[in-house]
This record gives sequence, structure tokens and C-alpha cells, in this order.
Amino acid sequence: MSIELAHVVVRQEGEDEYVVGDPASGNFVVVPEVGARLVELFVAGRSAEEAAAQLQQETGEEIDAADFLEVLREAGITRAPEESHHWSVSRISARWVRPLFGRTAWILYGACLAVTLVMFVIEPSLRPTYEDTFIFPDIVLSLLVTNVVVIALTFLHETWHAFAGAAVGVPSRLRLERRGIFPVLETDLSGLWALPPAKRYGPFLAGMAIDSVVLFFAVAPRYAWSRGWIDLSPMLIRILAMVVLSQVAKLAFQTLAYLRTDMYLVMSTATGCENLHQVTRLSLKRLVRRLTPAEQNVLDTAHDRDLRVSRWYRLLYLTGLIWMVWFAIHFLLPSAKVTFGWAFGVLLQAPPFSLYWFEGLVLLGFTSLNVFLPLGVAIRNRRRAAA
Amino acid sequence: MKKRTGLVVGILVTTLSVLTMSSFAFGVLLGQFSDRKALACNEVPGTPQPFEGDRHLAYQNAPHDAYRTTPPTSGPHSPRVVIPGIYRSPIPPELQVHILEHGHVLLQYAEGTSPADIDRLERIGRRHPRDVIVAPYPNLPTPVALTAWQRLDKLDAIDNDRIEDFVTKVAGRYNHQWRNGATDCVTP
Repeated sequence: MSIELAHVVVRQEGEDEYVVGDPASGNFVVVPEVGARLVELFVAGRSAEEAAAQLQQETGEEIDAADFLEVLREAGITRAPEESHHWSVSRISARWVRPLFGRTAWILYGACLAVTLVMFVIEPSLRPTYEDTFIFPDIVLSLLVTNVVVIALTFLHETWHAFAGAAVGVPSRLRLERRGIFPVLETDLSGLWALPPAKRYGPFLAGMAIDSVVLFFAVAPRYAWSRGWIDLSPMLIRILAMVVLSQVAKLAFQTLAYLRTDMYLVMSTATGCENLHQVTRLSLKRLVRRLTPAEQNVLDTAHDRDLRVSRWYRLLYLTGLIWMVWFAIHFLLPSAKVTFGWAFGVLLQAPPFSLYWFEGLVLLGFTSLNVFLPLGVAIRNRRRAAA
Repeated sequence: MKKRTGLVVGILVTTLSVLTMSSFAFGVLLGQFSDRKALACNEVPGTPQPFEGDRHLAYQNAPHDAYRTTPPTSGPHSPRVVIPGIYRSPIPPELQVHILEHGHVLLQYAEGTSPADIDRLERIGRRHPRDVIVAPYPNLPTPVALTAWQRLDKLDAIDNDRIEDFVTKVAGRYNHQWRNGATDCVTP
């Protein structure tokens, strides 16, 4: 049985005094160094027996990890075990996936990105445009194929996160979440926080690394084709252009740190923060609304570094929120309006139950899903929090 | 050292965030600054064609008035979309007009064009992958035709220079509206 402690924050207070707590509930206990190490091992996915055995090996002393776990349970710091199911992909043996994240692999990932950027500079027509979505004249068929490809590549991105986590012994979970107005798939690698910072960067950057490889293999053939070096099917060229659009959008999204993307995780690790986003959000919220006792507790127990970094991070956070509203007004809503317009136009004017009429119906479904999915996730999360 | 690394990464990530956001927010604006002024009517290749409307049909095969030119250069058109590239099957006229509405150029060839000539035309399309659609057109009255929104040029033979001239000077003059001071050149 796995132990759900990924949400826990461990902070050193004195020489042999550590605070172990849940920032969301405000529950905490003070434990000695050996207790903090046990929490690290639990977070990294070890069972009570495994953690006790490892710690005994490290310290030479006999440890009652089960008793310690009971203390954490009584203090309200552990969560229900049914919430801690790990993604089977992340259970792969470390020795199988370690070569994917060695020095040579990272050089290749970096080279793929660099060469792609050079090709974009030399041949601007390789850069994506929104038209690349329409690989077929039939809009519904284009949306179907594009969505399938985008979802498959998103799973690949998340799989690489999971593999990189597995390579350092950290299992993960896959879940549907939202970032502001954007629905996202997310690999929860919270167990990484038990590892030294230097070991966390690889798993955080792994998704973008494989995105860069896919991007390179979508751009390079088109570059060679546009120069007349190779002949490829025109249909394949259009599919590759659609893949480029998808990958560039994905990589660009990851740079939006204020949406807690991969780059946010890199930044918060590099700055030594523990709970930067929440501390920033709450410190801004208290300017306009009263905080709940639990929220106030998060701020009261926040680490100095989080408070210090949040002073400038809040500018990025606020800019990002404003940008997101602007993006919704100028891109999302107009495109939804056009697509809804198309769909309703077909439904009202095409012969009922004809092929065109069903096309309109599918288009309506697709657009509704894209527009309302983030809302659905928000409602689900609110219900879960209330429960 | 650790503090310095954090600062450098923080600046880098913040810069990337701002760059991504501004590329959306200011990209359109910067694009407008870089646009060239449109050519005068007497410098534009091809012949101007009268406006036949720009209405979207409700669905692909919805009935509409016949087009006045072959191939068409404006008029009611399909809601479906064809993007620039090489096509080996004919593109229905209703879809052709939608392509032209997006500012692209259609390079079409008649039935019986030799494979070598098709290859020459497709290579031109490959050099302009964002502007040109190359496709066969079985009922074309001339061997090759170039169309853009309200613009037509019929060729009796493949003329690379003339095609290149049309593509580079006409593509983008119209994209849902006349751009950068361009006009339809029909009305004086």
C-alpha cells in the first residue's frame, strides 16, 4: 500500500528539528531529522517496511516507521490511500529508462530543439499557422484527426515525465486538470520533492525534451521537401505541419510559468521555493478578500524564500492573469463563436439527418467540449474539495 | 552560487513567459508594421475580375448562382477549408473561392498536362508553401490558370517567371478584405 504524503512540506526549524505539515489543512508536527528523512522516503514511494529498512541501513539504528506513520495519521497529515494510485507507466524499472535521460540523451534533445529553431529562421514558411489544423477540406475530419494526434502526443509528453521520474525511482500519477482556462493532462511527480534539487530538473524537463524530438522530426522532412531534396506525399506534408503546430503550441504553453507548467517547476526548484504559487496567490488574494483560517495558516507558515520570490513572481502572475483574459477575449471566444456559427448554420440549413447535418452536430460537440472542459474540471475540483 | 543560479533561471523563465505572451499580444501589431504597401493596379499581374459576393454557403453542396469565370475568383463559397499545398485531385469551385478569400493563389493545370510539367508546377508550389495551392482542373479552358481573389491570369503554356511574378505580387493582397491599400482594380 502506498502512503499519500506528496502534499506535505518539510522545513528545517533547528539543528534536529523539522516541521512536517500540510499547507492546505494547516496540520503539522515537529519531528527530529530521522522523521524528516522517513517522510522523504514515504513521498518517494517507499512502504513503511522499505523506509524502515533503508533508514536502518543509513543510520544503523532500528526504526519503527509504522509507529511514526501512525503519528502522522493522527495529526491529520496523511491522506486517504485510494487517492494515491500511481500510473502504471511510471512503475517501469529504472534501468530500462535511465539511458533516456543520460548525458547523451540530453545533448540530443537540446540539439533537436536548436536545429529546429535554426530551420525556422532559415525557412520561415516552416513556422506554424492556425491554418495547419485543416489537413482535410472536411473540418470535422480535420478536427478529429488533429485532436487524436494532439492527445496522443500529449500522452507521449506525460509518458516522458513518468519515465524520467521512474529513472530516479519516483512513481507518478496521471490526471486531468486545468490551468486557468486551459484543460491539461498532468503527471503528478510530487515525490520528486524528496530528492535533491539537481535530480528534479530532468523529470521536470523530460516532457519538453520529447516534444523537441517530435518537433524536429516533423520540421526536418518539410525543410528537405521545400528545398526539393526529397519527395514526400503532399498529405504527409500537411500532417507534419499540423504536428508542428501542436508541438510549438505545447512548448509555448510550457513557458507560461504562472500556469504552474514545467518551466514553473524548474524555476521554483532553482529558486529553492517550496510553495511559491500558492503563497503568491494567497498574498494577492488577501489584498482583495479575507482569507480562510487554513489559507492564512499557509501564509503564516510560508518559508522566507517563498515570500521573497513571490514579491517579483506576483508581477508575472498578475500579468499572466490579464493576458489570459485578453487571450480568451481575442482568440478563444471569437474562434468558438465562428465554430458555433458554422455548426448551427449547418444544423439549421442542411437537410436534416444528412451527412452534412451530422457533421454540424459533431462540430458542435467538439467546440462545446473545448469550451466547457475547463469549467467541468473546475466544478469537479470544487466538489472534491467540499467533500 | 545556488542563489545566483536561482536568479538566472528565474529571469530566463520570466523572459520566456513574457516572450510567449507578447508574441500573441503584439505579433499582430508588429506584423502590421512590417507589411509593405500594396502595388498599384497597373503593376499587378493578371486581369481584375468583378466582385461576385463573399457569402458562406451553409454547407458544401448548397445551391448558389453560377460563377461568371472559370476558374472562379469570388462569390459564394463552401465553409470547408483547403490550405496551401500540393493536391492531386481537383478542388471543387466552391472550395477554390474559400482558398482565395484567405489570400492564397491557386495554380491549376488542365487535363492532359504531362507528368514532367506537373512536377515543374508542383516545385513552384513547394517554393511557396504558405501562399500557393497547386491542383488539377479537368475543365480548364487553357493549359494553366492562376487565380487570386478577383484576379485571373490564363496561360497557354507553363511560364515560370510569369507564375512566380503572379504569386509574389498577388498573394495576400486580399485576405477577407483588401490589405495595405490594395483595391480590386475593377472600379477606377
